Amino acid sequence: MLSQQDTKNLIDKVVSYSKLPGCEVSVSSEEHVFIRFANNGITTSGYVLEQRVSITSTTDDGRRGSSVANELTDSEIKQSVEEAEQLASISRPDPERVPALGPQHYPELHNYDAFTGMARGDAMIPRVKAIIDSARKNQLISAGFIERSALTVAVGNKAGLFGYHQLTDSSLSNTMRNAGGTSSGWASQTSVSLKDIDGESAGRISAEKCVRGSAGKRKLDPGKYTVILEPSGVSDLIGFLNFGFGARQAEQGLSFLSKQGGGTLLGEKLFPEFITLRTDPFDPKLPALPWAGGFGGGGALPNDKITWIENGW
Amino acid sequence: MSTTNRSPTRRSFVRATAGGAAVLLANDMFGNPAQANAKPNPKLVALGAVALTEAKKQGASYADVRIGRYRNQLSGYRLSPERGSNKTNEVPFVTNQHSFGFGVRVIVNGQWGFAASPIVTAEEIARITREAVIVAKANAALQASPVLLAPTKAYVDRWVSPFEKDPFEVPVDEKLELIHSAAAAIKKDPKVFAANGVLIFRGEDKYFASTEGSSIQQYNIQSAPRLAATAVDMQRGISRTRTYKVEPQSAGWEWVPKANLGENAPRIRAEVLEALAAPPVTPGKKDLVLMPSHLWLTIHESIGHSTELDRALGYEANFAGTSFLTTDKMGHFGFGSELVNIFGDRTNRGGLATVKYDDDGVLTTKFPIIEKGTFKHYQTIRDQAHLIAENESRGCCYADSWSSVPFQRMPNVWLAPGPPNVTPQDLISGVDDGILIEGDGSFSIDQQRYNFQFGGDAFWEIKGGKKQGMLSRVAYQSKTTDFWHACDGISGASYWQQFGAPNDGKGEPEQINAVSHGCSRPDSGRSMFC
Repeated sequence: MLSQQDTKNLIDKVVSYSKLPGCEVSVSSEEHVFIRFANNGITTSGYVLEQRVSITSTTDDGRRGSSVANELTDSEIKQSVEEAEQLASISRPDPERVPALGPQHYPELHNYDAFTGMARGDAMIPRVKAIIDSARKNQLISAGFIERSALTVAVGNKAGLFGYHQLTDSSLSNTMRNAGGTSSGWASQTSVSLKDIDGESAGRISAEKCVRGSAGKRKLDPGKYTVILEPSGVSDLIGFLNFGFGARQAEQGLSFLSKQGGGTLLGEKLFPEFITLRTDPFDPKLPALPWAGGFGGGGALPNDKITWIENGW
Repeated sequence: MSTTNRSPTRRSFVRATAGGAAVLLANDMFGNPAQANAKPNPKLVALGAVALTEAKKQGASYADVRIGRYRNQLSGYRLSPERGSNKTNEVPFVTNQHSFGFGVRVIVNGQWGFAASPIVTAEEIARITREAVIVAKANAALQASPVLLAPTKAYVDRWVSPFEKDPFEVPVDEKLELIHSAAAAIKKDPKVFAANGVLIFRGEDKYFASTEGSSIQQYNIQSAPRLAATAVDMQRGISRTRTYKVEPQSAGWEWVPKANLGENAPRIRAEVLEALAAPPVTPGKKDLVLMPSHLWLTIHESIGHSTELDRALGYEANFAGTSFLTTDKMGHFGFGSELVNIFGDRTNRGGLATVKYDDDGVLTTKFPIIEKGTFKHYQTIRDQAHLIAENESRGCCYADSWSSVPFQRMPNVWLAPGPPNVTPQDLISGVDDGILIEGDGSFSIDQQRYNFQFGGDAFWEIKGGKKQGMLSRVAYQSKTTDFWHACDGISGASYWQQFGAPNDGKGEPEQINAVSHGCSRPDSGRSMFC
């Protein structure tokens, strides 16, 4: 994994090779460890290192070109800078460009867990074993996936901006099925820390769901029903909802937040009072970054809490 | 197992990234495909041998290594109003992406292990191979059954997908000019809200070597142009997008002029405005005439995925899902009408999944999946064949990156054409009350690939054997076997086209796969829609 100084040196090197007025750089290095299991046994697993440098060059009149590479040798970095600049020079001015950000004060996030960052198979296999044990105890068949990741990310540009962050993430999901294939149960857990991932709990919950489904299934006729969703189900729906919060889409009639006849629904009460939706990058269990969105659209602005919906408004 | 002592040391990282002599660049090893001869690059062979030698030294009964360079180029234009005004902004974008690295797969004590790194040096390849062995040994503690590989021959070969002009060699300004011209033609009518045009090119340059003696280098190029027009009716609060999605092909730059972007731009400009005003469909049972630009997705979701052996056996149960097509149905199950003949094929020209050898090093083939409506064969790879008492793999192994674990992925799955004298007009003429659907849209299908609903990109009513005006808000619902049993007409080979998916998702960690689904224009009667 790259240290803060490694990424600073790398970004400085990219900027030093740059000849055009604008140069934005993103760097990442990642380490992933994962185990996949099915039919009550491990099937595939791996240990994977990845790294990437993304460079966007901009001319005085706003022409932009980007290159992404993962060879971090001097010659390859130089070639990537030249490539981005060449693309910028033959592109057309971007009328929606924004000025490069200067130095920023990024918030401090605490979402790196050292245990998770170093965990390997010996830390993960007992969690898988707990699920398989639960499957065998209940005469069920388990399939699932456990993964932990450690990431180093950095941003910088020719205007003096620099940001660096390290974070970890881990997840476990499992599906239990009965032998006849007539019922299944699913459970999932995610956290910045692998210590929070509990195979015994995931195995028990998914097995209970599967056994419950085996016993009491009946045909449900089409109609309107009250549905109670567990958190992971709500999470999936919110993921789709998030696509519609862009201001441009709402203003231009392309979103559920567009108002019929023109304008947006910003400031109107659209949801029940018990609905409040926030983004909170400071949650220590979530793998958030100190900046929002990288350099897309001139971004890398400091991340902060955002309230999208408050008491239904 | 401790971890801190196995990551690349600070010293080795600095050495590998400092441009020293030990570092080999991707360009040195893959070079210009025009200069390719029948043998892999010796530098790749030497690096591959490091992994294979180290794996055997560490006790692996089998190992393979893939060294890959992947290139993507995305260029295009968005023409849309500036926020808060009616002024049209013309926003270009152009990005080149490169990824280079290697992955090593081993079998130790009957268990797979995998490790990968972007630092392509002999020292790192040996280290990562040891990592893969450690992974495999650890996994043996929870082994369900030992891995068994179906036999394959050893091949020493170099293969390049057919193309006339490397798209990466075409100047980007030429690409931007072409796509800008087409997008501007769409936006020419001020009633069109936005126009988008994009050219996507992908190059996959890959070396494979195994302890069984294979040494294979392959280069595959894919090209995919696309145009889209969007219209908005603020008063009614609706928007419609009409897409001209050219068949994505394993082909070079020559595919782009054949797409006739300039000629098709005015057509989708007119159609998006007609679609915006089109009346909604009346719910009921109708006949469907489905164009290849639409039917590819129904083939993909209902046949391509249901006939994957890993799904049928539960290996994808936690992510992609299972299959209603359980192994007891193989060889005799009535999947569709007698007109339905489906092939799995990684050899057909232009197919996105077409290669000479798969990522198990198996020579790819064409094989029947459905013959005259009867389900015949699953898609398989080497470690699956024995699970259904077969003796050889059907060559469906693929990994989407050097950093991904190879596993069973879909080949090109295509529907054979009907009799040569049958035309799409014949099919339309035979429909009294139906809908013609072009292009793909949103869809939903259950995890066993049985109950589904498909939308589309554009819809026309058919009345009394004649194509009428456009409809809106169309989707059809069916069960996989009901749908394919209802197929009662397919036009001839002259009308066969292969559309496809450049990014089909499956597996954990999730991987993408590019796959084509050729078909002519069938008539699938009595399918329900709403």
